[in-house]
Amino acid sequence: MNCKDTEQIIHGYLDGELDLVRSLEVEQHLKDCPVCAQAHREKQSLRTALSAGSLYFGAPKGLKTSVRSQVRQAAATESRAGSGRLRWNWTWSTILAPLTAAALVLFIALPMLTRRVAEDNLLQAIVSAHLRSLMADTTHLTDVASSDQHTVKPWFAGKLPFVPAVTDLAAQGFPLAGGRLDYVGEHQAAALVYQRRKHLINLFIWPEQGDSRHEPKTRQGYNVIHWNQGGMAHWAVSDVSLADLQEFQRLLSEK
Amino acid sequence: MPHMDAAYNLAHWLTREDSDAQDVVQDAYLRAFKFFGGFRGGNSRAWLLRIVRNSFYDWLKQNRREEVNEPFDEELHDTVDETSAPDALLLEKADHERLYQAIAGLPVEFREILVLRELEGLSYKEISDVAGVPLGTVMSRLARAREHLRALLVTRTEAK
Repeated sequence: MNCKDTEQIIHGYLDGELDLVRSLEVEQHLKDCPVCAQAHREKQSLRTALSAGSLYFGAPKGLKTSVRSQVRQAAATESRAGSGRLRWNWTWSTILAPLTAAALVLFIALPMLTRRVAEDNLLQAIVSAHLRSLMADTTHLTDVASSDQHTVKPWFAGKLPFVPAVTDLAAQGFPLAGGRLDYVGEHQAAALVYQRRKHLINLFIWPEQGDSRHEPKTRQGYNVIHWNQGGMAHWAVSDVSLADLQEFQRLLSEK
Repeated sequence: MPHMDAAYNLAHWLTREDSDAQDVVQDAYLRAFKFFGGFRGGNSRAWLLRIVRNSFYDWLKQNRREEVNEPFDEELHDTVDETSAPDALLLEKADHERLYQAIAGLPVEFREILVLRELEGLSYKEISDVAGVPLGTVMSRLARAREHLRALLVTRTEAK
């Protein structure tokens, strides 16, 4: 990484927004280049000054009270307008409004939120599993290192309660590098490792019903694609471009 | 009332005025109450700050038309002099008043992103949601906001 590259992403580094690999590259450059290191120290000291300078304006006490009463008033107007001929009186609306709100939260918002959180956690688990596999030295990336699908597939038999389909895509530019067992969230997964030029793709597979495709997601700079097919959930994660990963997904789901 | 401090802090930095900030916050909470159906889960603080920001821009249209149309003059604001590296210690000692003036002097689109990042501690993704701009824009505006701030602080220090 040179000075120009560093300058472009130094703010991302400063804010902890870079992925591990690029962070390390920036760190290395800062060690080697005194000019960039000096510029970085200045940015850091500016941040320190901003956070230490008591520049945060907390809400004045009176504001909380007046906002609360305004919202209450609006709530009362709304429930009067909405109730029409029923003519709910003040007591009813004050009792019912919080109850309705609580019911809404319990029955609609909460399940929605928990589902979202669960999805989000799984996405995070996928990216973490991918990072874990990259950080361990290469012997842990794969338990069975082979580009031969007829070696990799039988290796899983007996180690997992299911046997994943193993497809070699060497001809299409995604050679198989091997497989290993992994845990993703609460799932025991088969992890297949593919290569794309210098990059690695982890494909996690575990049994899950349904056929579906999901929007690609990005987390910490890694692209993640998720689809369900043939009774299996598939999660592909990599730092290759989204287009490459979509190509990979397309090739696999056509097999 | 959740996130009141965050809402007020943002409003204060946007309006630079206590009573205006209070008006904006009042309006934002009323909107939040009315449009709670539009909340699709996720980060409620970012959601609320987005409403505060919208309230502010509507308020701005009604009250200070000129600032909305004020184009960002690159020549005027681009005072960054790469050759004069400021003393890092000087920045750390920058007192509250000077920092306040420097941030308050930034154009609003830089000010809001700087405040969301440095004072509110939002991630780039959250800032991009609040301000309705792409991630790349968040980073480039933040970079330029910091550069402007640095330049402002240096000029003011030298002028002393």
